Amino acid sequence: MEHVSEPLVTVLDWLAAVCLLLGAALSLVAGVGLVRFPDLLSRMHTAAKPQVLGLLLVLVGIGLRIAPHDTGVFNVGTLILVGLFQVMTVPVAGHIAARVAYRTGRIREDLLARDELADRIAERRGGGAEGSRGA
Amino acid sequence: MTALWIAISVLLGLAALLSTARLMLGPSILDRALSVDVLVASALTGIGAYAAFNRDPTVLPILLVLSLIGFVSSVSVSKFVVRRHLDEAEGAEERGWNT
Repeated sequence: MEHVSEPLVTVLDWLAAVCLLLGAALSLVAGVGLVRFPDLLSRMHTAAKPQVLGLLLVLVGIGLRIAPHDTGVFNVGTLILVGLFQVMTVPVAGHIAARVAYRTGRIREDLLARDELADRIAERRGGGAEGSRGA
Repeated sequence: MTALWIAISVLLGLAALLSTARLMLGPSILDRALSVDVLVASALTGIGAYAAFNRDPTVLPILLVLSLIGFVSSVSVSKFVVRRHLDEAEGAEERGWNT
């Protein structure tokens, strides 16, 4: 890829710009959802899915823009690592935050269509205690 | 092409502003941790857009560091919330909250 032809670079630049625009639009969608959604669990949805997809699109755009000019393995490797870390860590963080919100009673139960975890907890405790759902 | 870049930066700025609004409004600390997470992701996207615009690969390690820092911050805030809740509600003997 040392001597990439000029039209190809133009095409790659446009592709990168489209990727970046879509990624920025998805980030904006995540922001709008964060403001407009009613409770923590639905906000967690918008913080996890559109945000990660937007970031991945932006990473693809950076790769398309940088790769023809600076053909190091290091750049593309860094981009892939960033994407991998996001895909691995964002679900874990969302899961932990949702779990803590449920256990400390910070969710709105009128918005839940079905609460299977409550059944499981009651079953495990012998139906006796709903102590952890207090507050 | 220039208009496209301006549109990208405006969209990113609006996204950061909206998550800052949730950061100020958010009723509980978990909402705030979540919006800080989204804010860090917006910073990642913005730095990435800078790198793409200038064809400048020197800022890419910042992306790597930020993507890990955001995870650590939200997990530690969640753990803090659990411990404080247990201290307030049930006393010290249930400190071993089995995950």
